Amino acid sequence: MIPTPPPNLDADSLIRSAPLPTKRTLRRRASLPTQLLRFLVLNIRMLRMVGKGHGDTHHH
Amino acid sequence: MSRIVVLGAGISGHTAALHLRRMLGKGHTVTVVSPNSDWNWIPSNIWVGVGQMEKKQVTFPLAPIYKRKGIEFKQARAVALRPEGDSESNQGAVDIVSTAPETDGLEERLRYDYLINATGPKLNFPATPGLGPDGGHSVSVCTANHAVEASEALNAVIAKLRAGERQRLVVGMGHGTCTCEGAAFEYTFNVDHALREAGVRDLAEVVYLTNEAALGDFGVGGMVFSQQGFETSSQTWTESLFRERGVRAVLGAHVQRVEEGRVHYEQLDGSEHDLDFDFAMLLPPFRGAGLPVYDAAGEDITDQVNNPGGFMKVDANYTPKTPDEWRAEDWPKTYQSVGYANVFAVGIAFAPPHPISIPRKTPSGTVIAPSPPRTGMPSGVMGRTVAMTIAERIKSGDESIAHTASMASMGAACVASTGPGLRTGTAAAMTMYPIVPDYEKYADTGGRNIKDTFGEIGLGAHWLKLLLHYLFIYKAKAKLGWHLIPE
Repeated sequence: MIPTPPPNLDADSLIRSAPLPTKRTLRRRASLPTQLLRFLVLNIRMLRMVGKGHGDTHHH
Repeated sequence: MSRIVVLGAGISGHTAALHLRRMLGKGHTVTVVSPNSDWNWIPSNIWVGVGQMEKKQVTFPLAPIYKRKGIEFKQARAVALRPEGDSESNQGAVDIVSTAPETDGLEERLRYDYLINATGPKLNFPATPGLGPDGGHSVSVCTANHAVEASEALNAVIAKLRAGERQRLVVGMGHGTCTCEGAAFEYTFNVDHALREAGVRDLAEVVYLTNEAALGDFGVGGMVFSQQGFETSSQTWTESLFRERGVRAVLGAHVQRVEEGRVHYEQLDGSEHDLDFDFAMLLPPFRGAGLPVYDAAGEDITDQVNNPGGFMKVDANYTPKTPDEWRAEDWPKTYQSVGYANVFAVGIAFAPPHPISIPRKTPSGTVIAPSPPRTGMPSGVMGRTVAMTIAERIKSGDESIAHTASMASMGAACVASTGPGLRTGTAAAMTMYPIVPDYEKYADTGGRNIKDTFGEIGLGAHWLKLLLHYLFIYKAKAKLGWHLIPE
């Protein structure tokens, strides 16, 4: 195991200083029209990722 | 005519068996051996664990599906592997013991031409004293029955909260070497949601206790996301979600033991702590099935075939390496076992070459190292890939054919979704490509393609999770067009 910088285990302060979503962001996350669009985008991105994950045939 | 035996009917084994049946003529026999009579869509156990779904919505009996598809089904447990055969025949064989009620305990030696080991994990609750629902003090969501018990325990806590009693709910990893942090993360947010729905969130403290050194690690060393014109990390993204939901966290922890209402843990800095709880869902570490292996003379050769963790060694590079020496090409591609060209191991059953997340030790030497996840999407892809290899070898007679699917060129998704409704749910979705970072190919973005690695929170991600639930259960039931649904 290589020496790595000691991780910051003070989870409370890390979480306290993390970005808090604004009310607008929270509304967007629940808004039907916005989320319909995001759903489509998510599906396209998922399909693209799935398509990349397909293997090849090899002969040893 | 060939016989292919598949050990295990989880995501990888079931996928492999269905594809083999589809690709091979009826003259060949596909046999599935599984100790369980039911199939379980494990990702949705999370919803069962908070009472949003019933067990019957995430399970179904395997026998009718296999009967319809022409797959032989043996409800049994594999107890020994004889890849070189025995004194009677040099054909490989596997010893099985029936777990079906009518033939319970009956032993049988199954001969095979090809074997797929998809035995999944052994839930290693005994690794941590007091861990787990069977004789321990914590609940689990690893099986559908465990999830039902977890839901009942959660309801009891909600009843106390309604009566005005403060309660602490701890969700996370029950050992320093656990994997599946994504599942614990998802369960955390389902618990948070259930408490809000019940109107008692303000009296409850929710704590995520993890072996990850930082939030957002997920056993894959974290991810780099692109968000609103900035590169950000899965750590910041996850911490933000924790802040929004008011969830506390304990990082870099190895659970030493669980007592009634109290968990003892050691953190990476060597400090030891106690945490009292009223409810604890702690996942166990995994071991491999550890199937004993014998040569033709009956000598035990398990150590040559399996690694010490009970996982089967395959075409990976198992040379011990430090994390800075890890390479994408260390990861297996064909899943062919070491020494036996007709034996494969897929899903959790194969031995990974090393972790993905950096392993660490406490000053006293306790290893705290998230194990690499290899469930869900990658398991299915491995199952299909090996099925393609075997089917083509049988059809062509060319034993050199091998289809490949490395976790270093395969993506994965984790959708942590809460709420049963179409309008009221929400989810945090993450995808990554590749699962195993390739720092040579994607040097500036954490070893992954940033276009395919993203985190998204919202109702749309929740719909995606619902879609995946129904789609994968449809696929597993092998209904019309099932094979067109990607793994």
